[in-house]
Amino acid sequence: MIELHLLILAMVVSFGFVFSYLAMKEHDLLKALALSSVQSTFFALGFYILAAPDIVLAYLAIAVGAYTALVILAISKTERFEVGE
Amino acid sequence: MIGEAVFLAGMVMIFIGAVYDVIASIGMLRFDDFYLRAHAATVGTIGGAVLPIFGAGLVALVSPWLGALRYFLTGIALTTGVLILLTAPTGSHSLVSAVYFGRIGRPPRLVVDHLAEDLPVRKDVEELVREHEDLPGEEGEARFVFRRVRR
Amino acid sequence: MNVQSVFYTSLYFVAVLYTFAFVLYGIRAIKGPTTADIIMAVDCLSFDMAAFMVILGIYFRSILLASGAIILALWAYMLDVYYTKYVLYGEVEV
Repeated sequence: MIELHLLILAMVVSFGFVFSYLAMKEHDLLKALALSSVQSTFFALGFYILAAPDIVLAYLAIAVGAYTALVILAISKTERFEVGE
Repeated sequence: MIGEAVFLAGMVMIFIGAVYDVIASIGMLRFDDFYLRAHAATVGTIGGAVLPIFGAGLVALVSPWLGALRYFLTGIALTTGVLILLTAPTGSHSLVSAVYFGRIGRPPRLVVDHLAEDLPVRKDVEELVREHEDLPGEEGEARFVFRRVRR
Repeated sequence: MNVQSVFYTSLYFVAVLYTFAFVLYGIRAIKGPTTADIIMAVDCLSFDMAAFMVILGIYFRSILLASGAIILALWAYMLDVYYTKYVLYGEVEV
């Protein structure tokens, strides 16, 4: 019988890698923020399967909550699209 | 005897929730409009998250191998279920409202639109101006930023 | 065949179904043409992930692991509200 939680861990970490690459290549900053939130949600499940509940509690509050709120606040004060070189 | 019946009911709820979840994800992948995807998302949140959480609470309440741990697990499960039951419809409603009033993406393919005819148009959305019209965007994405006119 | 072995063998298939659903939600979040599609995909993903966390907390017999589900459900709701406030009003108050 395959160790299922290791398979789930591999899937979650590879999805997090793909989403971090997409967020890095994006020119629309709001879309990049949404992609980054998907990546942090996947990594939270990764930390969960690695049996680190304290890191899960801290990482969720920072990476899903406070990071997205602060970046949306910063985008609303400045511009949304990344232009020029 | 009553414990086994409750355990069986909880396991059936978990299985039905998992099947709901797969159905909602397939619908989320294959529908081609945002409003249809919102319909699939309601199936995925209420049927796929709230139902197995309540089932897991029932399973944890009557399983004897957990010891004194089961009351804590039941409390966590019921709290999470009630919170998702409150926050998921409000989140979906606000998101669809943002897409409809902000005119993001393609317009909805409707036969008749009573919301545009009957309701008065929202004042704060009516006086929005467009900026950055010449910037490149993805296909279907709004190519401008709405900002409220300051008076 | 006691109750515990029934639970542990049936959780295997439930975990397979949930993982398949996570993969499909992730593909929609990659494909999604507008930002609202990605926000809706992460909304569904986080709520289903909270359900999966509660079920795995019973599987691993741990209270601390299961309590991450409450925080995940509440923070994912805040993302919807902030996106709506940004798109409709153009400004966000903290």
